[in-house]
Formats: sequence, structure tokens, C-alpha cells
Amino acid sequence: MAVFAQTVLSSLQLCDCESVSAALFHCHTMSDCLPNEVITDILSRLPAKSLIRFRCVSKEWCSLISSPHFIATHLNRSLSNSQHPQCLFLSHYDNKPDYQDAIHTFVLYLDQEIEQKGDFFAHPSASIELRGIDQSIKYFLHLVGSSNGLLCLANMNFNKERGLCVLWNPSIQKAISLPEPNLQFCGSLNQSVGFGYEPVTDDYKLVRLVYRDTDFHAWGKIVPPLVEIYTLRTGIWRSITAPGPPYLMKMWSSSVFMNGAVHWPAQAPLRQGAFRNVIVSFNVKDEAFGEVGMPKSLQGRKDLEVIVTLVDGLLAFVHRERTLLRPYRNEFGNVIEAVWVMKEYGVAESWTKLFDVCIGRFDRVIGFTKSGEVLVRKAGSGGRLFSFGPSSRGYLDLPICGPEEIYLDTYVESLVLLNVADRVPGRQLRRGPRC
Amino acid sequence: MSSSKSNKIVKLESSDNKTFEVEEAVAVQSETLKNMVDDGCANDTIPLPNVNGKILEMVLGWCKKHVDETVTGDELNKYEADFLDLDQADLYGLLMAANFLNVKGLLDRVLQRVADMIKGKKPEEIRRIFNIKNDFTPEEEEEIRLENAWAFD
Repeated sequence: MAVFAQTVLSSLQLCDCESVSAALFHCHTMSDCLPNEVITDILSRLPAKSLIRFRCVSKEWCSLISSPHFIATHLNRSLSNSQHPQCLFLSHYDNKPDYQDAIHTFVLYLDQEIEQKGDFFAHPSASIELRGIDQSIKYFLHLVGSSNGLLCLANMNFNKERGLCVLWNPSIQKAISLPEPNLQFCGSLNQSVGFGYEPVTDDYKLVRLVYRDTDFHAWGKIVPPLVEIYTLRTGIWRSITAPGPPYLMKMWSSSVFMNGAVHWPAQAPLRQGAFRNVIVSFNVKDEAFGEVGMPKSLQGRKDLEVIVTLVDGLLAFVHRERTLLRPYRNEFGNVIEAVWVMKEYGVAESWTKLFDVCIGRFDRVIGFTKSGEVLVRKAGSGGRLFSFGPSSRGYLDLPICGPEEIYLDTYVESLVLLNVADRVPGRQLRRGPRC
Repeated sequence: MSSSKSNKIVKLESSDNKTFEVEEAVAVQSETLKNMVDDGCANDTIPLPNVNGKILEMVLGWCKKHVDETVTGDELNKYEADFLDLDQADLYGLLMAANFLNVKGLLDRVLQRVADMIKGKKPEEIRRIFNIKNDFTPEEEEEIRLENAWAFD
């Protein structure tokens, strides 16, 4: 049944009768007379919500909308649309008196009103809850990264009982749980993850590094981490047999995905207990590790805490260095913090300090707003957000209590995950003897 | 490359036998007509059996406006916005004509207009508009609706 005939030129006679019914595309023949490519073009301009609804128009439309080609077409159009609002992903509690019963959900706030009302959170325009994931797993999820509208969330407790990651697309309100990873060990681990998109194979990858040797002080002999990769196309974790990168990362290191690679801050050991601060990269296409040099002045600094981030699509980091005020008491004095951006990727000389951050201590860098301000969560202020930069606005008040997990990114609508079968989490959580 | 074409006229005939004469520069805004001109097939009147006179006049008006150098950017924007303020039958005719004649800027605008028009609609309305038969069983359709209840609010 050639429902969408490609016969524009042939028997088409326009109806020029006066009484046009509700049928916009009323044809004299019963078969549809709009070419397939015209239908596809129109549909690719629609928001995700409309497309999900239109899946039930007919079987042909349902299979068209779920097809990989259409999903890619829709995504390309979405990406080329210059309006990409920033949004906040955060988890919050639902004001329940009993901590155990608190609902821990991810919502997203769009900041369309920011220009008009000048306030990031005054009027949250949309919030989408993460559904379909076991409540107890949701509790420990934190955001690893996002690409093409797909968010990757990982369980911070990542051990044998709860080693689950989640891929979530808020545009279509669909989430899938990943199978448990291969690398499982008892006790808490030093591990880091990264998430990115590989365009050649049109695949999404999650890379996990696990350090078994937790002796952080033995700088001279870092045992490289074990590495495994999950790809959406295969749906499984695959261990990488080649030796891991010879760097040490802190537990749950911050990561950013840009230029086809995931980046984490790390330290490379030198001889005699010395070390060098670096940024480690993992190219998701070649699945190879590399290194991006840090500014020379910071390479040898001790006690440097680095959080990688993106400023206007460029690799950047916020660093903090504490000067010992009273060494015998282990008290720290001034905290020097600054934002650096790498203007030319891979060129160490192009590292440029944007500005010093002078707001006192903060415990989390959330990200950079479009106006070039850094959004941080200040330590000791009950989780309130603070923005700092050229047009500093001071404290921002979130209308939710204590966001545990907060993440800033640009929101892209997409249908990614639509054609992926729902995967049921492998097993129920059980109580029982550990390991 | 070629002799001056500024005075060449292209003759077109709509499905309802109305003839239109336009300068070649206007006509070649349509890729389809441009190919005909380049192939040397545009010396006689070109019949367009799938575009009626009313729509063809609209399309040629668009082409003329886009070739006119005295029109300012703002005027053009306003013209384009008003142009698409059409009833459904004309919008359909325009879509088919713009697609067949391949008038690039126009087709993109019309496609966007149609998309904007349908995005909030219900599946039943979509079926009516596009004249599509529902080949789902009621149970199958219900399953899709339940799975994605949030999209149907």
C-alpha cells in the first residue's frame, strides 16, 4: 500500500470547489497525495511532545517517527535552531518530614524568562520529573553529562547492589536503566565516569574508570585504573583490556564532553613523589586516552582542586588553591579561585584567565550562564546558588529546598531513545550479605 | 557566460487556463522553471496543470517581490509574514505549488507555517487534515496513548 505516493506531478487536480471541508489536503483520490519528503519535513519541525502524540495517527506515521533516520533529521534541525535555552537539572526533596520518604526527582527549569525578568528562577516555565526508575536508585543519581538532549545519570554508590546508570531524555519523558557494569568490587571505590556522543556511529558512550589501589599518597606508583565502556547501540558494558591512563583522578571527578572527548582533571606522577596537574581526555571515537596540558603556572601547584567545565563551548576550569595559614593546625587561609578558559583547544599557551572568583568558599561549580557568569553553590549557605561574574547578581533563590544535585546545561529537544526498547533493571535490590 | 537575459519573458499557463507573463529573472526563482529555461524548453508557454491561477499568481508575486531591488529588508519581512496569512485551502495549494516549482525560500516558509498550524492538534484532527486512515486497532491505539499519557494532556 503506497500510502505516500511520490506523484506530485501526475494525477493531482486541486480542488477548487468553494466548500472546502476540514480536510486541508483534500484529494480527489483516496490515497495520500503529499510526497513522503514533504511529510517528513513538516514533522521534523514539530516539538517532541507533538510527535509522540502523532505516533498514534497511523502505523506508517508511528514507524516514521521512531525511525533512526527521522530521529537524526529532527535532531539536526533542533541543533541548528539557534535558540537553545539553558536549563537547570536538579533533584530535590518533597518536604517530607521523614528523610527516608523524600522524593528525589530531577526536574528541569527553563530560563526563557531570564532576559525579560532578569531572574533565573523567578518563573520556572517547565519541570519534568524523572519517571520509570526505581525510587531507591533515584536517590543516589547524579548527572554525569548530556548530549543531544540525552542526559546520563550515574549512581554514586555504584557498587554491586546498586551499580546502575540511567539515560534520560526529558523531551520524550523516557528513561532507561543501564545493565550493571562488569567491574564490581566490594567497598567504596575511587571511580569516575564520563559521557559523550560519537557521530560516526551515531552512538552514545559512557566510560567508567575504576581505581582499585586507593593509596593516594603513593604518588610514585599509581596503579592505572580499569576502564570499561557502555555504548547505547550494543546495550552492554565492555571492558578495555589496554592499560588504563597513568593518571590519578579524584573520586567522582567532574567531567565535560567537548571536541569529541570526555575531559577530567587529574594528576600525573613524576619522579620522587612529585606530580603534575593535567586534564585527561578520552576520545569516544578512538576510545583512546590523551592529555591536555594545563597552564604552566598551575602545573606544579599542590593542593589544587580543579573542576572542569565549559564556557561558551570552550574547555574551561575553575580552580581553587588553599594556602596553609597555620600548618601545624592544618588550617587553611585564603582560598584563591579563578576561572580559566582554553581559547584554542590543545594549545596550552592559549589558556586565559577569565576572572578571579571572590565570593568566599563554594563547594560546587554548577556551570556558566550565557551571560558569562559562573553559577556556584556556596558552602555553608544551605545550598543556595550564587552567581558571580561581570554582572554579578549575588544570591539566587531557588524555590525548592536543598537541591542535592544541580546541573546547568543547554536544553536541546530530541527524540533520542524513542526507538530503544525499554530495558528492565536486572534485578530487584536485595538485602543480604555484602560480597 | 551568456547574453543579457533581462528582457526575456517566460510564459506560464495555470491549470485553469490563465496565462501569466513574467520576466525570466522572476521565473528562475523557481528551480523547476530555471531548469527548463537552462534546457531551452521555455520558449513556448509552459503549462502547469497542477497549479491553479490563484496560487500561481501568488507564487509569482512572491518571486517578483524577491527580485525587486527597491524592496527593503523590513518590507520584505512584513510581506513574507502577511503572505502566509491564508486559509487552509490556499495554504495547501501553495504548499503543493512551492514544492513542485521548488521556490526555495517560499517552500521553507510554508512548511514551517503548516508545522506551526498542526503542532497542537489531536491525532484525530491530523488524520482529517492529511486524509489518513487509522490502521491501528482501538486496543493498539489505547496502548500508545497510555504509554505516553503526558503527551495527550
